[in-house]
Amino acid sequence: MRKKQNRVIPGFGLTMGITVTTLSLLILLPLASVLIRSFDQTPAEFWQTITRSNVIGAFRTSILCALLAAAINCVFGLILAWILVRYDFPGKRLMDGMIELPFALPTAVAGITLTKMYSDQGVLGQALNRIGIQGSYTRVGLVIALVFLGFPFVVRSFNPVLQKLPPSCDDAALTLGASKSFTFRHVILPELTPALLTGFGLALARGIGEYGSVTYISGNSAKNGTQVVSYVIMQKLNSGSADYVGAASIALVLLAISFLLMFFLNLVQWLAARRTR
Amino acid sequence: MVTSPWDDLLKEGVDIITPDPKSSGGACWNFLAAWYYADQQYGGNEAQIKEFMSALYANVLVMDSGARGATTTFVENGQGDVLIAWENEALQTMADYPGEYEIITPSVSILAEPSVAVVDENVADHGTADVAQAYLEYLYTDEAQRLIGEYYYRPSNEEILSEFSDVFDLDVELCTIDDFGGWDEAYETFFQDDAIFDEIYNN
Amino acid sequence: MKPEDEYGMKPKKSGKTTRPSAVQIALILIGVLFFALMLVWPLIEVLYRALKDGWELYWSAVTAENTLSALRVTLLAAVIALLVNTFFALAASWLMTKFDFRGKSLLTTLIDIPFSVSPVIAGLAFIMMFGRNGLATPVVNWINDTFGTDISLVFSIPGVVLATIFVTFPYVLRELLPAMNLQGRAEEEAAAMLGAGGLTIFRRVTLSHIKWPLIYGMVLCAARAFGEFGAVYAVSKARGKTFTLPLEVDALYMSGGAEAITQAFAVSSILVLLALIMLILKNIAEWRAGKSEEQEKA
Repeated sequence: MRKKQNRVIPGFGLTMGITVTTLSLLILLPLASVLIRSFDQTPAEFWQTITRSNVIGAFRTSILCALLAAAINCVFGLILAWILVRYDFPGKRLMDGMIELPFALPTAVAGITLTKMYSDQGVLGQALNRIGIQGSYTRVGLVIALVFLGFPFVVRSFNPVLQKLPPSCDDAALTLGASKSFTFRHVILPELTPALLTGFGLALARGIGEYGSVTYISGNSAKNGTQVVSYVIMQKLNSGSADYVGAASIALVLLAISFLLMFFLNLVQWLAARRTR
Repeated sequence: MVTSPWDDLLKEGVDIITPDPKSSGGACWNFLAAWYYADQQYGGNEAQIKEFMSALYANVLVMDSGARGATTTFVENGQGDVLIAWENEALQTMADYPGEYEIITPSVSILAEPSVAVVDENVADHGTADVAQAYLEYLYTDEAQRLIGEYYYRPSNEEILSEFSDVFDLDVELCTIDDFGGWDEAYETFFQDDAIFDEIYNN
Repeated sequence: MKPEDEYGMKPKKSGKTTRPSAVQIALILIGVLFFALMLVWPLIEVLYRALKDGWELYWSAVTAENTLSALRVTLLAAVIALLVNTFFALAASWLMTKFDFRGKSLLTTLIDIPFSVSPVIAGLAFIMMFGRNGLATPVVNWINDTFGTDISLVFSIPGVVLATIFVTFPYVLRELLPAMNLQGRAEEEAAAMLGAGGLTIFRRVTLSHIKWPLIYGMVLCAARAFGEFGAVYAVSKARGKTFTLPLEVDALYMSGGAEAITQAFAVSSILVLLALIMLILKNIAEWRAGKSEEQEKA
């Protein structure tokens, strides 16, 4: 029955052909060549490359900072999405329209601007200095850059869910005598969890691999733990001996992490879809 | 024992800005100059040289991907106490920010002479053999050499170099890349993965 | 659509007690502060730093030859990426919403790869494929030898375009899919039974429903293309030739001179302007999309 229906609308073969060809040529084949290039060595050499102390340190820095930034974004992203959906206040429309600016603003521009703002010469950097915190050139700077980069992802994934969740729902809970925090934890939060995880995951994935905005603000020092993975890959490409195999090996590990994250995100969405069904 | 500005860099609390030798050519020169100094100082005792280099790089605060980026970090964003820089960049910074910085010329350093060449195959492809050849020759004329000096690069013509004796410290002892057996060998010995730089930096 | 329309209720602010309003005010304050600090301030900072040394320097930076060349490359790469990705998105969304087939979810996952892959890896991938000793380099060399062409796919404009396409690949499709799903298949099936060809169905039936989501996706794609840095940085090395605007910003910023920093921010201000234009277009598209959706429901 289904099969027959399929054929009613024309274009199956054509669109399938276009989709698979474009996808293979532009995305899959280039990625496969990273994989193939990292086979240009013995497994022992591969293992040695990816377990060097600076590489492991870079992974630790990237993952830790991206995790922290994604967590901060979940808190502020929820607040922003909440006030944008539920409340009215002056300037709301402007805020709503501009919330995705980090998405449209080039990461290099964001990088140099944030570096200036949070360095010893910038107003915010000086303010942080006064309470004993170094902004730019430390992990603090890295997290700031990743927060900037990631929060539209979180706001965007909260927005539709909050819009579907009627205020009447929490009103009902409140009139039944539930406390505000109880209502939030037991009525609203469960509804938000899939969106929370999706936004968190997207921001995390973006943060772990980010290059442009973090390259300026990071002190880039392996010793102080401010060197990120994407920099190490770039360093291998730029180095005097152009270590392509090394770059490909590290890229492969980073790819594996990204795929795991994506798998996790799809799982969350699938579970959420099943729950509401 | 005479102390050199190089020794001052090892003092506690001195924050150094120098780029990453694994990504920047300029950074390799900086590293080799320091190595050459330590080599002389410790009479070639490799353990001691490495200890010196370890202590030096322990003071490095920001390791940019390139030499000019390091200049930006130091000058524009005010990081660190000392920038190990190309001589021409240091002089340029002095000219841009009069009175704000001090140049300290070390007793020993390295002469960086990036090569300039006409690549036969490329000029044949582009049909630019004549122009390229003319440019190459022009670089060594008195006029160009003076121009080079005015932009704070050391002219290779000794006579013209001496005209700029008020700009350049001509007493500094300079080694060259040949003292390290050329770039290929130096790269292998010092900067490849698990070579000496990794060893002294990760210690 | 606002919740109060759907449930016939007033929004919460008409609340019965004064207690919620304190929380409300606190939340709004936190939100606005975060917004001002993270978004508004950086924008002002770019403009302030760009104009700090006067209009003259600003104007000379914005009209410098390298800047104009970078602007051309940026626009060229964005336009080609937009065309390729839109074409792809139209084909793929048709495939995914009008037919059932095995492996659909695998295909969706594969298409989403560029969302989560580091841009640096995108650049690296093209170097691995077309660079020295690259997998596909022999093929390119063969084409060049046979047809007497001089194509080079990395460290050249085509390389920049390829890297840009990679990072923006799923953007249009992502916005198109929900709209096509919502619209369903009935109308197309009816048209097909009446004997209309595929292209006619698409033009006459489908396109009118998905126009605004399509434009919305294209705006997002273009915005992302303008700003890509990491991927392009890996495959573009010639300033004034293959540099895009973000790379020009980087080159100026990294050049260390006093004026160069101001020039870097001046060039950045062009990108900020582009980003703001894209945001305005995006909001228009979003608004129109919402409107046409309402009309359809009515």
